[in-house]
Amino acid sequence: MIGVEAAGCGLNTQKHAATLSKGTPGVLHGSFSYLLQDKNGQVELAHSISAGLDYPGVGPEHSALKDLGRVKYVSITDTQALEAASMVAQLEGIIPALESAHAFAHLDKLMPTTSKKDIVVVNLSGRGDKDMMTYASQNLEGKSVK
Amino acid sequence: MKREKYESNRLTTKLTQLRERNEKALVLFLTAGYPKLDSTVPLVLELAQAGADIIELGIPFSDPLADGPVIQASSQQAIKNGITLEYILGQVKEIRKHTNIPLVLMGYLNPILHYGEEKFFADARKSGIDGIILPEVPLEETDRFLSFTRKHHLADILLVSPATTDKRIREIDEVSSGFLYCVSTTGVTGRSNIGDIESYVKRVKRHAKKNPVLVGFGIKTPTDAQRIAQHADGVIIGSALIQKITQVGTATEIGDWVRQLKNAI
Repeated sequence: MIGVEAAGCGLNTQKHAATLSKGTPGVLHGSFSYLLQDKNGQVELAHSISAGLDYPGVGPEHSALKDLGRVKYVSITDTQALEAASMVAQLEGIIPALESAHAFAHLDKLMPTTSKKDIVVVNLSGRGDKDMMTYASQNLEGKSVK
Repeated sequence: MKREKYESNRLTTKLTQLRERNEKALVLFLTAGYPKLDSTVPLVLELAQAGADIIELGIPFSDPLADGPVIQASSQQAIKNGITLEYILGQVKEIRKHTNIPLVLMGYLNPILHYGEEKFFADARKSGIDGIILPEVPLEETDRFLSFTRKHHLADILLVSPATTDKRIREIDEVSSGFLYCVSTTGVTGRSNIGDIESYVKRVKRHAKKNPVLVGFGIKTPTDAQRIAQHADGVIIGSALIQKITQVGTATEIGDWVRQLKNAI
């Protein structure tokens, strides 16, 4: 299984929400999980264009799956997620939630490594109605799939 | 789990003395490192001088989920000022050179886990702390900390709220030492109206037979304090004090206010 985190403006910037790639263990809001935090245990601000991913912690289940090696976690930037959302809308007629758009964006990297026999399932976990304001402000109109 | 018996310290001695004199306890809460990094030592000494019975020092945390806007803002400022847990324990050592006032530390878990769990409790005791309040930790999770606090002779101050059932009040009281922290409302610190809490405080007193019951959250004025002290063993005041410190700032004015509070209860 592959999990896709929000890289925001990039993993090398201060503006991302990639807790599993960049975080360390700690307690926030009653959960012990990976956290974005400084050396004194103060929690840092996260950033993602997707409200649901804009959080400095992550579910303890994901933390456990990472430690078990059961899931490989990768990350996708804001821009890549927006492009993928536009692609899914144009090809499938489905407006995905920004969170799920991160998963679609990873297909660009994943598909070239697969063979014709492989079956790839994407979890489209939410709908994009809630993100229309964000999509509209990104001026995606007129941009078509390559 | 083997639990070493909690040994009495400055905190229990003070609360026993107050009870024998039929006095109520005035606990004042300060955010460590606020308003300036080095304000804490002189402020604690001033409050002790003015009549505070116990001082509760808050360890600033980026996400203080039990705290309202006033304490949140003071925590943010203190973090900007560069406060760390090491620095606070240094301040406590400095305070201990001048006064024997009981000192209680309130903190959220993450900075403590980063400092080192057992090391925190050992160092807190060595620097002169008498009790610990961990508002994030429910009764079911306290065992892991009790072994450290009991080993290092620190009081475990657990909290009850209006949502706590009678049975659970009894269980929390049994595990607690020092005093029982009775949260006045279901909400965060510094709310504007404490409302009708007499029957609730009476209920807590009825079920908490072991520890003194001290009420905190939303107590702002000498009148509030007086009302609550009729039913409780003491009051805890934080946000209102921090607001005073932010607004007036002069030691004399804060000292006068503390004297009014102590006289009111």
